[in-house]
Amino acid sequence: MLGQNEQLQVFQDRFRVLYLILFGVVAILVTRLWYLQVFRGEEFKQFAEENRLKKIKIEAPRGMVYDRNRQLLLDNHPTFGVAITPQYFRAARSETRQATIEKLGHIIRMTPDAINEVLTKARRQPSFQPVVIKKTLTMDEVALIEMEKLSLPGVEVTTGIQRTNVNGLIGSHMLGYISEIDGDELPKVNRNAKVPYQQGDSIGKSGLEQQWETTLRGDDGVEYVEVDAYGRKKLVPRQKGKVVADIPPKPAIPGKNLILTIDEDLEKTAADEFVKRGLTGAVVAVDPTNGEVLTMLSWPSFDSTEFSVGIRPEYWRELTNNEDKPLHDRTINDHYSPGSTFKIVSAIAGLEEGLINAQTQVMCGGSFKFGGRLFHDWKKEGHGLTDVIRSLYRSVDVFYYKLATRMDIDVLSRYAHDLGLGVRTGIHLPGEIPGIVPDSAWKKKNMGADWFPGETLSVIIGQGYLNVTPIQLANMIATVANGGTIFRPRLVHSIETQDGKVLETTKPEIIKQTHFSDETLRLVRAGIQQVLENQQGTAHASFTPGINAAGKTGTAQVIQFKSDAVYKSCMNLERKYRHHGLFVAYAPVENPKIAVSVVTEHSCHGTAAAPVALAIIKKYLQKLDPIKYSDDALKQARIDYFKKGATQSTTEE
Amino acid sequence: MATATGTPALREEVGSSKYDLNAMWIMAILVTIGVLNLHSATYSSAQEGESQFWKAQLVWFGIGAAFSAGLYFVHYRVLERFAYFAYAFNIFLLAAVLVIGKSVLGSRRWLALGPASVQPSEFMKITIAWTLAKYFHDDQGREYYDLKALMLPILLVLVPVLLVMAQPDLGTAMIILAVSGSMMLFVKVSPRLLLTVGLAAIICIPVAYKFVLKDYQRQRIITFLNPQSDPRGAGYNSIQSMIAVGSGQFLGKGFRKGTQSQLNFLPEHHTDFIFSVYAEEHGFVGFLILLGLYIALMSNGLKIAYGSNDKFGMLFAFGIVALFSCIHFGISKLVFFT
Repeated sequence: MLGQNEQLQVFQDRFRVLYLILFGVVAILVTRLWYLQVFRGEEFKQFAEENRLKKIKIEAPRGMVYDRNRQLLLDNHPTFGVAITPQYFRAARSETRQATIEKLGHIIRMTPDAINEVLTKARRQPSFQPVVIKKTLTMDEVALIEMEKLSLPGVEVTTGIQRTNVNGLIGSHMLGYISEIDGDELPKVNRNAKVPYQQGDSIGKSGLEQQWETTLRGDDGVEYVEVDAYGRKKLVPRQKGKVVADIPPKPAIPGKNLILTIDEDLEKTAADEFVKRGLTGAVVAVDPTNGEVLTMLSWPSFDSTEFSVGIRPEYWRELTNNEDKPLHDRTINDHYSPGSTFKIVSAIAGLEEGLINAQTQVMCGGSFKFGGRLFHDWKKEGHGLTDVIRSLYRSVDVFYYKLATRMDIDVLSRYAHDLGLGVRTGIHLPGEIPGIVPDSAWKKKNMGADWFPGETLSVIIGQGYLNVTPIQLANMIATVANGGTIFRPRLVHSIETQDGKVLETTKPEIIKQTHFSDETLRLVRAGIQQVLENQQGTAHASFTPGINAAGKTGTAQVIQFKSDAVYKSCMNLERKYRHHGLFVAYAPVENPKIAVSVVTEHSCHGTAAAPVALAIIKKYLQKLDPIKYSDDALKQARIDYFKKGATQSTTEE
Repeated sequence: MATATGTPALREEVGSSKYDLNAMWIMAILVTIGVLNLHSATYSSAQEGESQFWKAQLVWFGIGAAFSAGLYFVHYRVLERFAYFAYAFNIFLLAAVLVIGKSVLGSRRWLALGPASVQPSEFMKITIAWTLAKYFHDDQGREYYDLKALMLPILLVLVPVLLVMAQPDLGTAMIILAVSGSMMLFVKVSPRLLLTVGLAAIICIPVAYKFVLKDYQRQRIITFLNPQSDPRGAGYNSIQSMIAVGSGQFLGKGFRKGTQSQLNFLPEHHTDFIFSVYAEEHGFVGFLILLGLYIALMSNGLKIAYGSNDKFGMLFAFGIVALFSCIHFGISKLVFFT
């Protein structure tokens, strides 16, 4: 047995070991702290900053869109929405989360399930990004959320924009709409985006909004706010009132403005005409000297404003169930058979090819026999002796049937192409279709059969396989007006910064230059001028003394008829089977400033389309020369015209 | 250091216990740091009343100081005499807790004593050191302790450990075990037993991990060792604590300027993660100062143990130092694991 002192002696030896252990522990501690605080300190500092600083997106305003006279077409209206930031939301206890969702749902009138669904949908995105729950809130809802904020962890009010078409329904197809990017679309969209889009961002989905997305879209800014673990802005006593953190914010860069070539007044005039007459259809007007698009209207239309804030399901159903297809852009995304407006092309082809000339006369007896089949003129009794000018203003089918017997379809189609038909005009809008101008190769390819000469007789009067878009028709008549130049239709005149600095001005772009002989142009122009001026002209009812316009009517069959039955029974048909009326025109003939194409659906005849075209022409000319085309001056011209007409008819007798 | 010439370290004056002024100064500084740090940790707390905790803490320190001053007049040999009585009383209290204790967050730890509440398990940490010191003091003349010789002390430890675990309060039970274990090691366990226990542990731990532990318990161990395996769930606290400590960098963010704690990213910042608050605000330099103070305090304690002229004094002092180390180094567990 050891004595007490010896035993203590034994213990005291152990203190050496003890100090060694203590030293070891201290060494580990110091190393560890050095590692955490000094070696990796900067890294952890970053983590702490990411925790503390919340990025707040400052939404960049989208570029505005103005018409050629700087009338606002597309505007941004502020809206309030509500979002949940998962990072802060998930930091709360699960009962709190449940209560939050219920309370929020109660305020914004959404079921908790619906809110959860939105959150689930967005679960793949980074948790610091707010998930928009509802895009439009009333001011009362905003106030309630702000009041209850302390019991709603992770919930915040967001601001957004409501993209508003100032003129309501007018021009929505051309202007297009923006809407929120679907979560599934995001990766696809971001593949080409310079600045990546985030969940909840809007993007142009049609029309100019889509085409000029990168120009119109701004670059969102960022500011940093100090927040606590629940995402609440922290107002700790030491920095009361100073919620914005010490990192300088990155300002939002607004999108650029577009100044269009469109004239808002012409858009309104066109829409008025459609509404007044209860019509559906399309209007395109261009400046034949440079290809600027003056108006582009597809009717019926839709309210693009609805799309930017999330379309109401009932409105969406209304749009998609409507037989008249309001979402459909008839100006570039639909084609019609050009009907007799195509006789302009046929006449030019015949004259240029030397198949006919000013002296050519054809006797029209009301029908034409070819290949054992009888081809009827629209007028059963016939038009009598017809030259090329008369063939245009009376729209004599037989004259062209005769021409067709000597015309190769491939030659005819070449002239159609030279006048801009059957090819995309290249307008900077998404979704333009090319239409169809058939030739023998086309038929071989699409029908697997050779061209029958009889088919040329249909095509030459604008029927058969022919299909053209209203914008092509406008380009065609503009080309006749300017003597052979096809411009790419331009919608955007210039791009400017938010404060009005011009960044870029577009220039006329010639797609094709064809030289037609003066004689050809003279005869065709004279022929279509008579359409309005001549008392026998097919659109004489729309003749407006004082406005020297040239035009051509057309009728596009919706269903095939025997040609002698074309007009008689049309108005008796169910509306959807009635023919479309077309009219192409330009004015003034001596120095063309505007070329228009109008399609009025199911109106049976082009004479229904002509007043629309004339109304637009009149409006535009009045703006160009308010004195010459003033209402008084036009009234005077009308009086003079009838006086002259009276004297003429007296002398004739 | 002890030498072969005899017992130079033993005090001539048996029975005197000089009040150690150095230790008092160190304690005073540590208390000041502690209270200030608690103030910072709870300063911007949203919880009702939490920002006043530091005042309560100061009151408790006052009570503690008065109690220590009272003990000054009691010779520690007197403590030796009352060791088993204290043990029995504490066991009684632990048992009482299980019957009439206040239940907070699913465990019974608190015993109401008039207006205040106490946790008998906290006293048990000291009582066990006290009791074991007494036991080993009385159990003279062994060179080594084998399993048979350790039977009784193990029983002495297991009773309170099981009672505490029943509350349940695993943390405190672990501290009692750790303090007792280190004391047993200190009195020298036979190498054979040490080897056997070591081998048994090596074999049992993986087997227990695989077959005995439940899924959620295994998950807890995984996140303890690697918080990144579940950064949003169980690992969240550890990660936020690491960020707090690391982001303090060399000089710290400054008093009451720790963003992790002030903005509530660091959970439980006035209890479990109080050290992280300190490290975030005072940096590596602050840590070194604190560590220096601790080392001073502990070596002071060890010096007392070393200088004791009987086995009870030495072992009790050692037990207190061991307890102190367990609590203060154990808390910042993150220091040892990533």
